[in-house]
Amino acid sequence: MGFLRQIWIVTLLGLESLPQRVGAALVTVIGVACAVAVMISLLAVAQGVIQSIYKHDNSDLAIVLPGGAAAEYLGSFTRADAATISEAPGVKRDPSGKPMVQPFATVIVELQKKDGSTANLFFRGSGPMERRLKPYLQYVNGHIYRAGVHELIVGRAAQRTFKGLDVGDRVMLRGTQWTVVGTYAANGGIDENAIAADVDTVLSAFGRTTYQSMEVALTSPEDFNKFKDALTTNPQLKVQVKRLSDYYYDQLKPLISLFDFVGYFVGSVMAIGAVFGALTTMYSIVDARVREIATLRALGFGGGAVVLSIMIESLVLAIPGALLGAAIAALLFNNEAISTSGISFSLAVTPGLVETGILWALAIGLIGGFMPAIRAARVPVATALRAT
Amino acid sequence: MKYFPLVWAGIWRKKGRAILTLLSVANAFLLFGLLQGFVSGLDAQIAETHADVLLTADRVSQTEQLPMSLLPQIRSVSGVRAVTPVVIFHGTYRAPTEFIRAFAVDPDALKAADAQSNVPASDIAKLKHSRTGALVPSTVAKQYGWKVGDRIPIRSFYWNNRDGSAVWPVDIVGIYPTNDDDVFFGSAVLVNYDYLDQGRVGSNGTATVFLVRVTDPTRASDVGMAIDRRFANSPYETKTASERQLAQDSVRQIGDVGLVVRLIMGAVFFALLFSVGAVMMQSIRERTSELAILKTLGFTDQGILFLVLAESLFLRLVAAAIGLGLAAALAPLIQRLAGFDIHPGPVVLLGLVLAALLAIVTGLPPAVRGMRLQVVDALAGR
Repeated sequence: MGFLRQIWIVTLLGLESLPQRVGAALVTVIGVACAVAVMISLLAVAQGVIQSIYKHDNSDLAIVLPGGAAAEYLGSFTRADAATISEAPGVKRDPSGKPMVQPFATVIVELQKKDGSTANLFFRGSGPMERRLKPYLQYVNGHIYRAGVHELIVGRAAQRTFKGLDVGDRVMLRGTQWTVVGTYAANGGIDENAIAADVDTVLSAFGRTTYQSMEVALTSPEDFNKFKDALTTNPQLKVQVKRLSDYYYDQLKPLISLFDFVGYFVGSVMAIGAVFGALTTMYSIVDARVREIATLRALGFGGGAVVLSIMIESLVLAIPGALLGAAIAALLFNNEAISTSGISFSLAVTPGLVETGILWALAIGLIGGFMPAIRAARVPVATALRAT
Repeated sequence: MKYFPLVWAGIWRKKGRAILTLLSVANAFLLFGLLQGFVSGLDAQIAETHADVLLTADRVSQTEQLPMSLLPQIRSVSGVRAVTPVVIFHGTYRAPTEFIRAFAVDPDALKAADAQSNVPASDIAKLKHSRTGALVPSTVAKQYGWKVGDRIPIRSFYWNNRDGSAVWPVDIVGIYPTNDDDVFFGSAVLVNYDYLDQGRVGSNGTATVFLVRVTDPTRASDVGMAIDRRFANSPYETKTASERQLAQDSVRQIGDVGLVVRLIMGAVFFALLFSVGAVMMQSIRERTSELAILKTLGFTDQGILFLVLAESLFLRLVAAAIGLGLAAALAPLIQRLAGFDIHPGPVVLLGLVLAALLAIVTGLPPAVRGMRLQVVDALAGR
């Protein structure tokens, strides 16, 4: 009898008797399901952040920051610098010949969230060119801010998270009262996590004279290096140039790493627990089948076939556990909006995460099945047959 | 206690199974100790009101500057012992990767505000007498090979000087012992407030934060609130808190950590309930005839119930104690690796209560089964 056929028969015998051992089988299924569900749910946070960053094709947009500034609210450059940047090669011009660039001033403001705690939010001084750089920005409610008056518009995610940011509300920021006049959306993208007003109005309200960052439309995504080299080699400028999406990713990297760390850490500990569960299941199954296995061995079935078939049985229990866990995570948390560290986004249970969950479950099944399989193959045939 | 050998024998009846149960329960409580310990670490910091030093910063935006005119007003609040203006002067040394943490401070006020007396008085005096002077923590000096008398350029992230450059030359006048516990006066380069303020373009006459030293640390939170009340509804609303509370805020901004931990532990204990429950049930089923013999020997129904529950309780409590102990042992390591504050201590009691609950929930069905056992049926194998 061929080796594969032996494995097939022993496995089939084992699976046929599984219904008699539902209790033991459930230990593996539930253990794996819980571990996978928790791990995928936690990893879905980081995936949600990444998806909100790469929601739109921003590859033709670049951000220019002053040299040494770690974030868009830290450095400063002058109007003369801004003019030099607008004239750099690679900058797209609109039909009237105007460079498509938008200088920004960014202030961090601390506002109260709807749950009563406080969090930081970006207050961006912007201008009319921004919506031409980012055609995906939609002004869904009210009207856009005007220059010279203290009017601001609110990103939809910020509106969802923070208190008192509905159209018509008044917001007190450093002794100046601002009126919320509109809401904007970016289809769930990261841009929704801010409030915005006219850049020069923001500068004067916060007693500043210099811009802090500049966003630039490139003639094409491939011209990024040309543009970057032109600015970084210009001795009059001390700036750094990044693709806009990469900049956002760099900014949110600590948050992404934190959630990935927590997800993999908790997932690992729970996976170890699930391995113990699988070991319990498989040992009890092997114990219950001792006479049957001894009979097969007496009939001439090889030890290798027994080992493999027990491990297959373990995998057969682990995979439904993984699918169940992934389904629970997806049903409970996919597209669930959460807010953390002042940004709000939707969790994303991606196919990649489900794949990770299944791979982990396979590992749990293999490790949990191995030792019991070895014990099954070592069953002393004569003693086992005589046992009651 | 005289039944203990019986309980002990029951636990080790199948060695492999007992060890697996022990490990599963210990593993679950290890996670419980770490996660719940993390939450209790957060709570401990939030509850902490003892603080020698408070920070007063702009309420709306901690990167904005506050005018110096606030200083005398803060000093006049009762309970305030000393106030120092501090300007964040972080920057880089030669390469953009050589990050320098630096603060511009007022040497006169520094001595009063340095609660831990980190910086020797003689060094403070030297800083006062050298306009371009700088005091450098020993570790930073060692890292870059700096000596007293060196002139070093700091490229500021935020401040341009009147030459239109962000590079500020400073002269090292003293090297003080590093103390990583003190963010302001323990591990940062200190320069003269006047040198920076008179040299910078814009924001003159302002400070990023005021360091407030209070007379009575137990009243720190009252003093903080009194300061904030004084500036309420002014263009410079302030937020006063201890440094740890501010650090805390940024962790709290991550979200409702307690809820996430409860959800995770819910899943962990749900899985554990199944695995431990199934094992216990199977173990009692296999021992049907043994239990019947105990009953024949005169054990009462309650006696059997007690015996099985005791076995469950003992194994869970020992396993939970091992898991919690492991969490306590691992906490300092994770704290170093990930920078989280983990306090498993306060959660030990809660953990043991949970273990007892787990023991009763998983032990009761098999115990009741054992109690209801009819001796004749059991011995006949029915």
